[in-house]
Amino acid sequence: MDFFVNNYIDLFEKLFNVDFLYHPLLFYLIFLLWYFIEFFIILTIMMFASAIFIIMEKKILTFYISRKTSNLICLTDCLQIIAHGIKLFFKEDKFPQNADKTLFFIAPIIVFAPVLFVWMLLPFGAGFLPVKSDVGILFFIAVVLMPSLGIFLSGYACCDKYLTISALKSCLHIICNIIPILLSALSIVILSDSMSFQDIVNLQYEHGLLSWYCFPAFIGFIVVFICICLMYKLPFNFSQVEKTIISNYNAQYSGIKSAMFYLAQYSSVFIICAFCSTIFLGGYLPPFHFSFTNFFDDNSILYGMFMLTEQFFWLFVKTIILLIFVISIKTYLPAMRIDTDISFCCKYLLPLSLINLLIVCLIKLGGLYG
Amino acid sequence: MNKSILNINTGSQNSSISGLLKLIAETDGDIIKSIEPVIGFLHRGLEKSAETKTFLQYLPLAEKIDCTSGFLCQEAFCSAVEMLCEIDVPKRAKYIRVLLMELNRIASHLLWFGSYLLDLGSFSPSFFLLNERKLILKIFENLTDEKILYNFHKFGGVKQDLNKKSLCDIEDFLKILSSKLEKYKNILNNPIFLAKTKNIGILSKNTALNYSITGANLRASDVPLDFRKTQPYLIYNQVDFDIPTQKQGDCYSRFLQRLAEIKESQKIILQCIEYLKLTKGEINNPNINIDTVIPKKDKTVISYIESSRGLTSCMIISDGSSKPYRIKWRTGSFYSVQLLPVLLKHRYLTDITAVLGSLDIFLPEVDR
Repeated sequence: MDFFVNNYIDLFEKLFNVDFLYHPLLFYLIFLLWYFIEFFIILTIMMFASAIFIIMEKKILTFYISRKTSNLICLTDCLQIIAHGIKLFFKEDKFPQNADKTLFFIAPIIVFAPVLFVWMLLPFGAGFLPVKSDVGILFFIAVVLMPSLGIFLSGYACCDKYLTISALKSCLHIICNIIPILLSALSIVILSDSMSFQDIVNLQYEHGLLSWYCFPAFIGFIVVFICICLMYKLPFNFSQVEKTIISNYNAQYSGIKSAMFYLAQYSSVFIICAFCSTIFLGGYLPPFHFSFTNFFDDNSILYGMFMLTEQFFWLFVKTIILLIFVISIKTYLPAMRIDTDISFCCKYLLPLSLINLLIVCLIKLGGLYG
Repeated sequence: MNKSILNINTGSQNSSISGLLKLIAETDGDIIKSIEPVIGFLHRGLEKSAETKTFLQYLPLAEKIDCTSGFLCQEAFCSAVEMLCEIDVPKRAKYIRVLLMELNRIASHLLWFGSYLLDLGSFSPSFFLLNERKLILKIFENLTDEKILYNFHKFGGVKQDLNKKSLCDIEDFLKILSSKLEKYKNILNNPIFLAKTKNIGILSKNTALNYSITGANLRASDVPLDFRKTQPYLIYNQVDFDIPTQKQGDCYSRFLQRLAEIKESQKIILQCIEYLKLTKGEINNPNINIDTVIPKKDKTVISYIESSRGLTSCMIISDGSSKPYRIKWRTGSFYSVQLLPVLLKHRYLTDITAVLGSLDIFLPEVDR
């Protein structure tokens, strides 16, 4: 990103014919503007990724259940999502009669905002990391857990026994699933001696595909994948299990607020898959040492653009492959019962992730990694 | 009052019930202490309204008792009227009726599978099964121009004969169904599905008999009672079929029971097709003018039909006029609803859908 910032400042200097080093206020203003640009890039990526995910899910599901979806809107129904968005935007926004209005209003924001923020923490390319943090992994998991507070509030705000129970259960479910993910991520921290995503990705570069962390921490990778499958089914997914008393917390929401829950659901699944491919599958790195950027001059702006696009591409490919597996598994297996699910997480996934931690420690002591 | 006990209304979430049944549960944590079903939200007065209508006018309404198995309900009413007025039904019409009734039973069971799997959170297999049901409905549509409510029966016969083409269609469909059922059974043989249904909602033999449960729910509790065998109506004594039973009486065995019953229905249909292809004959009683069906004297008759959800019987009390004096329906689901407090006591809250779905309760049939 520094590369871009330098070019960007050069551009401004040439345009306005001033030297920014002598105008510190202007310098910071320009910098602030850059952060806004970064934010909007991330927002666009997020919306785009969610849209891709929704279309992909529709297509895969209809492929499996051999039925037709709506295919009359242009581009075989790809613009349907925009139509849905507009429809949700203009729908009537209702308050339940006894609801606590403040909490009811805040809850979707608390669900949506952390999901948006989480996208700032993952590196989408070398240097393209809006929030640079030395404890990236820890920060990421802490922020990913935040929506569970919003989910609880959304149930609690409606002053409804039914919704409160379902919200509590959903929270329990999310927390149970996050603990094995956290322990598996810890094994990666041990392997790489770092908590920053940038370092973790760079350390997986040396031998291409072979130096990815999914090989030493194979069990951890499987555990994280299972957790993603479980999380995808239950906590956010209201259409699937609204019959059992689990995720009815958003039953009372309509219009743009329900759209926020909906968007948070899809983008959080996408970002957790991206997180999984970052720590286990080399993130934005290609699986072999080849890059189109070799054909360009190192200092041209085209070089930077191309490099970034290529890295974006690899991260998206890895994430989408993971997502295809998640959707396929969801298609065939029924949803678990909440008590089975929690005991499964505590009795099987948690010990497995501890075993994974032990194996990784032995590998590290053997001196195979660093 | 004990503070740890919470009353919650957990009825409206089940898709096969669609908000028409209230279940008021007293829960301690996640465990149900007691549960009370509240019915009557879909009461249409189908019994009372019969008193102002002639027998012919009431005939299309009889289907609305249970709209997923319209042929079966119409048969229950038709056979009661035929008993009342002493009308004979030609043999070919009987075979046609049995064929359509068994097809309808398969369609009803497939619909139940679809909604049950959806209740358990299994999304795509439910659509597979509904695809097969669609094929049956297409056959019915070709025959009667209607998809759900057919109005195909007549007093003393049926409205239309089955031609060669429609018989071949039915045969083709049976081939597709039998090849696919095995596949679906394998898809559902996964540990998550078993954990949700096995050893849950166990209905013992004695409880089932005490609550006068009939149909597949009773046979899944190891009681081989089938009114097609014990009190054969139409031509059921001339066709060959078995009564499958299950040992356990839990949700999973009720699931297997309905699969086995589909296979038996297939057997019956094949025999009917064989007969209908080889023979020709009348499909209506020529001596009857259906517009003026009037019983000769005061009489009370009861017809028994083994419907897809248990015993359906129609009792008619006649005072000799063109309108029935009183009509009373007995349907299987009404008795299955009473089971819920027994089966769900001391179970988890999330088991409600598994148990409720497995009993195949159809609310229009309960409330009438």
